[in-house]
Amino acid sequence: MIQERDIGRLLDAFYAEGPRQAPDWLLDDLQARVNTQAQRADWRVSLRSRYQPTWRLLLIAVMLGAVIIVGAALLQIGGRPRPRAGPEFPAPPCLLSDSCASGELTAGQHESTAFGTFGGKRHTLTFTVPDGWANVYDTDIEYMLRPRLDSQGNPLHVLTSPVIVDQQEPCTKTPKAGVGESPDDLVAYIASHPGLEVGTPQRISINGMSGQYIDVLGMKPDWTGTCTRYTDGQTVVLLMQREPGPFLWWMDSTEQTRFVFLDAGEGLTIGVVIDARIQELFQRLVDDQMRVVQTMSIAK
Amino acid sequence: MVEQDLVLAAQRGDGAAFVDLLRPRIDRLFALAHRILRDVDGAEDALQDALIVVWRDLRTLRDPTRFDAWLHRVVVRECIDDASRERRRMAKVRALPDVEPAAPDSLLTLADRDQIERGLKRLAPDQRAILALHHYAGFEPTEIAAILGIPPGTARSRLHRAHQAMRAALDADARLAVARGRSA
Repeated sequence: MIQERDIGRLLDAFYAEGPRQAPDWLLDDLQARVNTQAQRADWRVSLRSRYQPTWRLLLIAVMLGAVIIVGAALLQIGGRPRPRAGPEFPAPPCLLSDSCASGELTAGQHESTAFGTFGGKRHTLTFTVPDGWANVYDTDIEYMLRPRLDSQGNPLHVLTSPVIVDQQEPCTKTPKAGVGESPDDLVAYIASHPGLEVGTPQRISINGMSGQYIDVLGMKPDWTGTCTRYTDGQTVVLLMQREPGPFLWWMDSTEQTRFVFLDAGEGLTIGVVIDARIQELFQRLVDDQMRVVQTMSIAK
Repeated sequence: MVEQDLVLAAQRGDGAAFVDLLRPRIDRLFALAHRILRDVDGAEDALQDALIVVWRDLRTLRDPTRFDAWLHRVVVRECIDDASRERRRMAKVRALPDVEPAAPDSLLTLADRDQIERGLKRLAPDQRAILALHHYAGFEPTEIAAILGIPPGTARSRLHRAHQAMRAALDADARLAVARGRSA
């Protein structure tokens, strides 16, 4: 009979035997699945997840209780609810649930489902992709496309109302005062940033939207800016969005990035970010992804 | 690039960074899942499901330095859930993973291994998980507490109860063997 004092020692020996190496296909399969599986935004309450922190469960309980009490009070006061006029535009079907991401896309023209809510109107993003692309994120303020078979997984980000961030430790999301929000303002700021090596800004016009793009090619060696909340080394923190959301774009010295800013009219600026973590891939990425960018239009 | 950068890049939707983050961890996670589930196919399925959950919910992780504890928590919870319900699995064509051969001077005899295997199958899935976290992964009760999101005292008492349950399971197995010997 195995004695109690020996159980720990025997379990140590027992567990030391057995498989120790995951099959190779596990990581390959994971790579393929993350290319088409959307992430949840951090500000969403995910009711489907089984991994809920206690504070979130309490908050949900309190909110549900408040809704029930207020609803009951309204029914008492007003009797049957009166019909109300519909909203000015159809609400996106999935703002408060999972992302509207479409997953794998067929070759051809597509449009966003949720992206583009601005000034009380929908500004649907329309674009054309060749075969092999996926939409992995689609919210009212952020849209993300990814070449489905790109093992490097470099996504193409499209966002509404980008603004420049004030880079101050510890990297809070604060807009930089005195910098405008037009494409010219944003590109001029990046072009004159003391920490960035940049290419020459270029004017661009895409389906009625005019703007500029600029390539960030590296970081100046003497730049000492940091953002220790996110990374240890040289960092330039550049973009956030006017609307509240999780987006904060910071760069480290390993990245090369193209920023495209377009004036979509009615005060709406669209930002497109093409980012390469492996610098040798930058030009190929830019060439491939700009072909998609060139097809983009905003329907008002 | 430091690991924290990879976590943050993955939170921004960078799938390659996410895979790079998992590459040095995948074998250990797979081995841990196997120690809890005692089944290769089950460990593969649980780990696949858990890693997709990790990717999907990664933006909800507020503190990137807590990534490892959170990752283990999701994987262990998935294993416990899988062990708690019957699952249908699609057969996969796959290479057999490397198996660490038993050392010639192993403490364990074949009979010991069979006895421990049967004993583990008598334990509740969460007891198997806590034993694997401690005896395979080498986590101390305070680390297990962080992974499972429970107080350290609770982790200590659960580990103690898992040892007791294991002993009881082994004793029951031994009594059964004696009874079989008598009836033979």
